Amino acid sequence: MKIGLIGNPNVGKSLIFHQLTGIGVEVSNYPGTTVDLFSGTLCYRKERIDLVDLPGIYSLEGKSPEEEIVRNFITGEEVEGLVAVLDATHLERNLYLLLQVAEYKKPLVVVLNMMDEAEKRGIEIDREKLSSIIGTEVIPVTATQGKNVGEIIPAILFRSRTPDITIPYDLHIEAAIRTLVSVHGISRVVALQALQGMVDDPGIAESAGTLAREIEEVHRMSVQQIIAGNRHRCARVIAEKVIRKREEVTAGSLDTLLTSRVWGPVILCAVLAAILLSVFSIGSYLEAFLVGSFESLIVQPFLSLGLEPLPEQIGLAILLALQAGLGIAFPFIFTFYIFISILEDSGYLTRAAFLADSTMHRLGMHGQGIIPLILGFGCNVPAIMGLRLLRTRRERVIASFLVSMIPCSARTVIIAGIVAVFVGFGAALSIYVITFGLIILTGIVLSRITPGERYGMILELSPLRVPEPGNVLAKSWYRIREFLVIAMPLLVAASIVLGLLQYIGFFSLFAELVAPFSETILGLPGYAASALLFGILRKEMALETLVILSGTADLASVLTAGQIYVFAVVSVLFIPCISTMAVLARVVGARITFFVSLYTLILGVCIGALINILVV
Amino acid sequence: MKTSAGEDILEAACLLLEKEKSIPTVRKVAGRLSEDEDRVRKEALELEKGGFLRLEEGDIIELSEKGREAGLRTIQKHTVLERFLSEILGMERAAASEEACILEHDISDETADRLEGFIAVPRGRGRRLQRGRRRLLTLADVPEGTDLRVVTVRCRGGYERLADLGILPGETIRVVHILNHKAVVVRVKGCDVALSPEIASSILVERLQ
Repeated sequence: MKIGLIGNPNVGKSLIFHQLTGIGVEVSNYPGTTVDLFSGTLCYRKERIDLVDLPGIYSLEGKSPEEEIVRNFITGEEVEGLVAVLDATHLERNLYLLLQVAEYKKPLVVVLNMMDEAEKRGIEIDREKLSSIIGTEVIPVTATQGKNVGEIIPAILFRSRTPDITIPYDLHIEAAIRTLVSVHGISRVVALQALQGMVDDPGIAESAGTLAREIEEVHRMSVQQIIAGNRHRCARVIAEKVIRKREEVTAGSLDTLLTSRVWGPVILCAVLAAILLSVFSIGSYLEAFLVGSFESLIVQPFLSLGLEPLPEQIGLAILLALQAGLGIAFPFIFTFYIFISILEDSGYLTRAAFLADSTMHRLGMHGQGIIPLILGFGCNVPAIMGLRLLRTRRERVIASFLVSMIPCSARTVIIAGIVAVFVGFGAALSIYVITFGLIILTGIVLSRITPGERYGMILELSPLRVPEPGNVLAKSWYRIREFLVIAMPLLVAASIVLGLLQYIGFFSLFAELVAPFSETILGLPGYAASALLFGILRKEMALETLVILSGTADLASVLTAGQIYVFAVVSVLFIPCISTMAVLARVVGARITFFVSLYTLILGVCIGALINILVV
Repeated sequence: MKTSAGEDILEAACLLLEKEKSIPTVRKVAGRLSEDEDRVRKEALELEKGGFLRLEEGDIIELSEKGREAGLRTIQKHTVLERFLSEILGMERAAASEEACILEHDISDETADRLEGFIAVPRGRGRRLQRGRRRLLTLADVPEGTDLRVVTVRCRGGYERLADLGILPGETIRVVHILNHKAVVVRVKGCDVALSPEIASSILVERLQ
């Protein structure tokens, strides 16, 4: 039996989902998109239930990938029931989506979440009345305390009913629906979608288009607006009938402070700086521990096996890739995700996006664009995945350039590991300054030259809440798993290729070939150029390879301070790592990925050469 | 008894009298209807029995009061149907007229009147809305803490999210925050929604007293 959880964003859907399914959750990408679908199985009285946590949406009839997925899901044959999760504190707004869901006539159970908060605010909801209006069972739930969550599954299994509420639409819309239904033999839902331009059949699309144009002419409003208006009115009428006491919500003093004109940006910068600092301190501590124990417990024993050179090389390559993945994934990315999930669940991330809107405008994006950019500091891979938050391709293209240039935790390892140690702290900071300067310049230029429509920011500020530790951990865990699934196979494959190249002596050849170039332009010895090549696999591998190829960990004895500085700048700037390229290709396509790689390669070499000429 | 052919004759005769100010004859009516003169004459004799008209010397058709009324009624039905088919349903004018010629005979008086009302009312509604517009404010022009009613959302296409969140003509909203570059936070239906400046400036509002 397949059941879907449906609801607005921030109604506690995921929390209910995690409480119902526990561990053993599958994350799948819906075919052709990057939207996550979480599904889990559970058993109730020997009945196997597949529960799917659908992405949070405001409407079933939009064109965003999330909305399309949810629509496809609930029109699918195999779906046997839906659990609609509503936020009891914002009932009227949530009813809007519920009314749309009801039109699909699937067996339904309505869950009123956040009952405790509603009670605190003095909101009383007449559940029996709501239940009789909608025609389905209504279950009051407080998911944060796990209260009544257990009622949901028996209700959907044994007592789910098809909702029998019909939204009264404007008479022109109703007339057009009747016309379409009788002429084309389609259902009411499909007719409504057709009127809003969401139908594939050319015949239906044509007659619906004609009807819609006439209605728009008469009403001087778009059909979407009329339909939305009717639904909102219906939602309001229901809300007025079932809510006994209503209280005007006033913004808390904390919220006023967080979004205030003066303090908002200051707090935002402080929060971001604090997160980056703690991620790096926690991350580097954990990384040293993990990489060290991996080295002594697995790599060293493997090397002491005394295998043939070729198998040893391949085995070592695989182990190095695993070490790289674990060394970065867990310490840095997982820690980072925990912080991001806290920001997200507390509702602060949406406020950050609002505050950043004006700055992001100059970079050709909107406030939401700051989220992938922040994610990029942890790791570019999830940040690129986060580009789906952006609505237009134009913004995604600009953001994919900028995110690929953000100094991720691996690049920070290079900056901190060699520049801060061998050149000085100021020099390390100056690399950040150079990188940020280039990101801003790139953004300003791209915002001028990138074609495509602009789309404004329409973002609901989710209510401020104390994040639920379990939910934060679960979220971080699913995200890190997503990273491992995408990045790990690539790391292993690329590592094997590089290992084989090393085995056949490609690198000494490469070093010889590239030496004249790298010596004259960048002022770096040939082996440093080979080390840079390893950076494609994983950024801080450039550093490790450099140590191996130069034969000493004390780089200051073989390279000058200038050379170390140039090496770090080039490896930070040039070509995103292979995992980043892989997700880039998935999110924005191969062409843009190629341009991003080419641009960063040229930028890295040029800036390196410039520094070499000017400073060294 | 009126038949549809009879109604056509009354309609044509009426049109000749009222619009062209010429005296209707069997020949002229037959010409208008692209019909055979003999058949028109035969039908006119039937109408004469029903008291709708009198056939005078030289095939002149003289309409009685009853015949004039019936003719005008058919013309009205024809016009209403033609307008409905072309203006509401979007058919070509010529095709709509042809279709109206067929439908006008079967449609009841009540349906015709209701159709006429249906075509007329929404237009009036639209005009009233326009007249009521005085000084137009946008969401970007008002200070924090103002209660507003949305008048129009000018941006079209791709902005359905606004409607989904409840930012629609007629809805009351409050401006909660404004940043320096005119990005705003509005409260609508108890939820806070952040809008970037270009969207805020395309939402026309009026102050609530």
